[in-house]
Amino acid sequence: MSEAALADQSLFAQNRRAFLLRKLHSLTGVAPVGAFMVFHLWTNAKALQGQEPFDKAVAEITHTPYLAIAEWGLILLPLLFHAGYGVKLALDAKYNVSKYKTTRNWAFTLQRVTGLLAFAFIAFHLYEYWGKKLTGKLAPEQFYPALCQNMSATVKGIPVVGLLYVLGIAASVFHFANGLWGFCFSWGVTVSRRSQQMAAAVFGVLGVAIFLLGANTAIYFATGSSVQDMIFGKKGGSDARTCVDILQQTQKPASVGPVID
Amino acid sequence: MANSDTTKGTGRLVHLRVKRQDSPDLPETRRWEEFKVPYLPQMNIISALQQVQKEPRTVDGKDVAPVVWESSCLEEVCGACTMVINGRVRQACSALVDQIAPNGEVIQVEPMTKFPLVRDLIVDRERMFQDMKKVKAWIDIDGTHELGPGPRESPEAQQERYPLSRCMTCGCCVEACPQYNDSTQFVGPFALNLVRLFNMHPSGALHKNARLETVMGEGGVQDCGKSQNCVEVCPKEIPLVDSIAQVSRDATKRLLFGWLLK
Ligand code: HEM
Ligand code: SF4
Ligand code: SF4
Ligand code: FES
Repeated sequence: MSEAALADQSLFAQNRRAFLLRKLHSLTGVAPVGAFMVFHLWTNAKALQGQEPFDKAVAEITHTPYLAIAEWGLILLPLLFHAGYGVKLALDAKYNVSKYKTTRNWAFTLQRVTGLLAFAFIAFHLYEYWGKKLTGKLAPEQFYPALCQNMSATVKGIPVVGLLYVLGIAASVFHFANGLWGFCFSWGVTVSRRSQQMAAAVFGVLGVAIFLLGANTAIYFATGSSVQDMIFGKKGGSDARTCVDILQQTQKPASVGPVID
Repeated sequence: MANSDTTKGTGRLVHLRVKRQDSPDLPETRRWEEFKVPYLPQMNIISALQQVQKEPRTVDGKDVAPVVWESSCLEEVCGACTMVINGRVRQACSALVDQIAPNGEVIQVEPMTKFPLVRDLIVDRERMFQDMKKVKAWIDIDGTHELGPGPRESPEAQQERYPLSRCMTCGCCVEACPQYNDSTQFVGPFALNLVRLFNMHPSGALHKNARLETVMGEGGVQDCGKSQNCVEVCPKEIPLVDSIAQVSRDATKRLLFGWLLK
């Protein structure tokens, strides 16, 4: 290719394919996939107020116009692309964190490990709820009781599924927060080392906050109490149906109560 | 070099464990061999290997072919002697025995892993030279006509550029880079640094876009995974991460606005 031709590239020139794909991967990670995850964890937190507010939020989403197009076009396809290309990236790297043990090399490694964990977790989670909704095995109103029951079921006193959710959320959120840091680097937003350190602090705090938001809901489903309930005691007053009510009704008292201190 | 009779008196030995292979097509000859050689004052890994060469006998008394390696300047400016010493990539000529094995510890010496092996500690760094070609790591002067004096440079610009120009293509950065391997065509941190260096040069800047375009292709700047190992191991302390970040920013600008400004 001549010099002039090289300097005169159009936006989607053929030789830029790898670059554009990678940029698309990066972009899809932040939005829609990442943005959706934050929105999703936020909506889920309504569960803390009991079944009725939660069902209302679910119903609102269920009645969004063009839901199927939005679900597929804005969430699933971008996620599939990001995840598929992400697996390729995870397999392409030659890891060496056992030799070069720096924080950033750990972050690099964990970015890929948590990507794979998020992949497994999201597949499991989608199968359990979205898949069963599509096949008619689970109506949206059954989500709440199903969540309470699944996550609180214990094996030897440990709410295994609840714990799995906390870990899955931890992996996804680390992946997202560290991904945002990487996004800022690879798009040339943070060029100086100082700005990179500041970005690490900001996204670190943001990540912890998103994790607490998400994990709290899972803890609530698993134990019947949110973290704030455990610290400040339960607030009475609301008449919405809670997980405790549901588990009493179905006579599965097994693990209600603060399993996690 | 001191002759071995005068130094044998000290009794101190240097213990080397060397990864060997006879030729690229004989992977079955891959093996570890251990040598103990007399210590010499201010010994580095090259002089230790020279002692092995004098008397190539392993610790179990087996006579073997001498270990081969590459070196030239012996003062950490040519990069030829790069190898993996105690798990970390560095120059053998500046790896001092007193520092890495003050109490006679075993010193493990291996060839770099990111390049085709030639023999023992010698690898073929050809890929790095191809990377440099790919990114147009030069300034175009075809010599057909008189260009006159080049543009004047401010001392500030010079000071910024000088550290970037110290690269000796030694391979440390790509050896430590998890993204530089057989599964990718990544040009590597050193090449991205050269893009920044030549794009900053007043004459080199004339081909800034062509150079940028090369790192917006297969194996370009997008392949950096941000592990920042490169900057940790660069013996010339080149601010590689700053260079990658700068090239990333230039690439983003070109992606977003390049087509508008045609
Ligand atoms: C919860 C779902 C996910 C979210 C929110 C997410 C988000 C992100 C973000 C924001 C980035 C940063 C992009 C950049 O570096 O420029 C990223 C990168 C990455 N993602 Fe994901 N991702 C998700 C799922 C996955 C999955 C399932 C995989 C599969 C293994 C994956 C693999 C990767 C990899 C390897 C990177 C690193 C790219 C790089 O360093 O440049 N991600 N992700
Ligand atoms: S920061 Fe990029 S170029 Fe440097 S070692 Fe890590 S992946 Fe390689
Ligand atoms: S950038 Fe540093 S580590 Fe990389 S080849 Fe040049 S001198 Fe060696
Ligand atoms: S021999 Fe030149 S760098 Fe070691």
